[in-house]
Amino acid sequence: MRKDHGTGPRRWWRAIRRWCCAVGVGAAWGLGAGCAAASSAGSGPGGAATETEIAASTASVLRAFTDVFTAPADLPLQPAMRQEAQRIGQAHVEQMRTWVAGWPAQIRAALPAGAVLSRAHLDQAMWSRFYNEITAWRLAAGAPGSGTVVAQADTLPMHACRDLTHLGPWSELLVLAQALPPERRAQAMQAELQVLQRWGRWPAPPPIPPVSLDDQTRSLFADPPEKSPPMAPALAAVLFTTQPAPLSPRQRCLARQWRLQAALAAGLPKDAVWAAFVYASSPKADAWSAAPAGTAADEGDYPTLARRFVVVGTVLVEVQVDAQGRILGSRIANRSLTAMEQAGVRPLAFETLLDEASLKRAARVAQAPPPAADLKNGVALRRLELVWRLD
Amino acid sequence: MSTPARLHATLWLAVSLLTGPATAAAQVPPGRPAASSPAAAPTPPAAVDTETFVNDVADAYWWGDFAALQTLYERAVAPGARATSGDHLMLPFRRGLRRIEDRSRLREEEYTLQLERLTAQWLREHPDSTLAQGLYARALVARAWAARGGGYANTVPPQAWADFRRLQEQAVQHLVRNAAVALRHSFGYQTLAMAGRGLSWPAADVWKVAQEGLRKNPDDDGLRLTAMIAHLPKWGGDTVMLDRMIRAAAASAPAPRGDEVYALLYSQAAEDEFDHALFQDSAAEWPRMRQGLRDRLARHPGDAVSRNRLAYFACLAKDREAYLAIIGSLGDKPDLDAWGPNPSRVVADCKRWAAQS
Repeated sequence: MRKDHGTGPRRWWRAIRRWCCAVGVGAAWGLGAGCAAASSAGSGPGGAATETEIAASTASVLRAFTDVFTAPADLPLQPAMRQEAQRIGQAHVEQMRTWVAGWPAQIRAALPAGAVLSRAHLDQAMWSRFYNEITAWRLAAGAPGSGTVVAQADTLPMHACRDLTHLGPWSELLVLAQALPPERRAQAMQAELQVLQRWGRWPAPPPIPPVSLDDQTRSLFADPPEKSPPMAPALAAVLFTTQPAPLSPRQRCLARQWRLQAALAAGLPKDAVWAAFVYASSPKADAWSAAPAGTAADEGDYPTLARRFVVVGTVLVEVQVDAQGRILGSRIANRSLTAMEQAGVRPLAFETLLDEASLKRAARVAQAPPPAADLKNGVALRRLELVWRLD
Repeated sequence: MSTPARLHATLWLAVSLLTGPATAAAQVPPGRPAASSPAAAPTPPAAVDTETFVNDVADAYWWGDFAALQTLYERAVAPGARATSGDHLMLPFRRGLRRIEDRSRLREEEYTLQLERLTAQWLREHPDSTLAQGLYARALVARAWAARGGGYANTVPPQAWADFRRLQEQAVQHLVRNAAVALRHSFGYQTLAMAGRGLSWPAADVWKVAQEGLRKNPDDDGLRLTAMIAHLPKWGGDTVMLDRMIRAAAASAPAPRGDEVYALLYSQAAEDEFDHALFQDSAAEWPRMRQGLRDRLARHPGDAVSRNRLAYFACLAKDREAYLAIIGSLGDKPDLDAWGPNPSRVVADCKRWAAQS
């Protein structure tokens, strides 16, 4: 059986690490001593980034865009699809060349008066923006009626996720598009092209869905009703296992597809289901690694990526407790977070980075038995506001 | 009359009426080569790498890709379809399916229910597909075994027995009711035989089902193996009836495969029940097994399992000459899966025995 993501994520992390070391943001990103040594070299007077460093930073982000929009040679694409992907991808990278070149000036302009744009700050801001724009792109592609691949996801066959052998939104888009019938595929690729051509000029992104796709379909997933679509064995095996393990990226893709189709089949409100699906499908900063998002040993429960991108603020967790104060379940009810250098832009790629850690933190908070008046059907709801800060 | 008995009584009429004539290959009388005229014989397809084929089948099923499975199935039922192991391609095809159907570490009843629902959907979408019909029946049988569990009979709760029987009966009824499509090839007969075994049909009747399937594809050894298992003493048979069945299977195999089939079935009987005591506890005749394994290797020299089995059985039978003739070709690392229980010890003991004499 084909192995899940043998080389894709490693390739990405190696590339990110290489860029970090090359441009010297290793210390800030916690990517190792070698990078830390490089980070102090080459800055201009007063720690200000030199023109050479600005050019290097711009070039590294542009290389990242080039990598994103280049289908890996071993991604299982049909020749015609590969050709189409190459044509669209190359044209888009050209478009991004001008776009990214303007970022350093914009980042400098967003600094407080008199502040110096350091090399480390520039790089972090550049990467932060890179992730954010990728997320914004996929959210824009999910606009209802857009005809894009994600907007046609309810018609995808269940095996569409099988060929997802590489991480990255472009690879995913191409693999899923390929699973569409030919006439729909052409339409979807045309719609995707239009979204790319409007890069950065999309309508405001949709708000975070109040109820996530996982929460909307939790009971369907746990005990699939008769009218829900059947599961591929690849999904049923992870759901009905006696030894739960984190889902691989392909299984996550499969689970998302199944949840969408099951929710629609169950008659849940269409708009809410689609909004939650599109949001769940847009890659956040932690989607670029196959490994589950975790924390380094010395970072407490603060997720590594959230720490790197200075994601701070509050997360509201709703906890269900029984009459004895035992926790029955929990969900994220709201978030109020900022990430570094978003210059007033919503931190799209980072706003869920603290979700899992918040749920875990909430689960550790001891709950006293609720007053009888708070119980409804034996369950009381409690809201915990968790503050995340990096002092 | 109990339900299984009723089913059993009506089965033959239904199957023989509905399944139509045997394939051209199957109409060749036993003991003759399948192609009577070399000039007319179509070129057999090139042998397919066994493990690749098993993996492809499992991968297609795992991800729910029916179109890919159907393509692989069509290759497996093509006349003369062979794997590099020498087996008919239907064997690795079923191995690929089993890899998905038999999953340990799962809540099996829920998992196999999803298999049933998936294959039921495929059946609705492709009612004329023999594969879709057969897969659905297989999923029912998988569900039946998930309900029963793998423990001894006295550990199975009464309701689980009831579910076990109900699901197998459902599989039989499905195959018989849709026999014109479901039993078009040999594929579905093996499921029918499996369900029959589960329903405690007499071993002779399981063998009859297998023979019906062999009329469609005389090289589908999976049918012979399923019937053989029904004759094992541990499933209510005895060594006399087992030997009679194996000899009949060998006699009816297309020439020149008679001895090979004999060896294959006794080799499997050893694996399923007799282990190292094959030649003490069963009626297996070593000279014929040896001939069968040698025939197989002459036709398929790349069959590493048969090569190892020949060495293993030669050692069990204390046939030094045969052992020494084959052991050198195994290299430094014999395939331990072919050497029965406690294989490392067996390999070492055989080596010592051969050196001493």
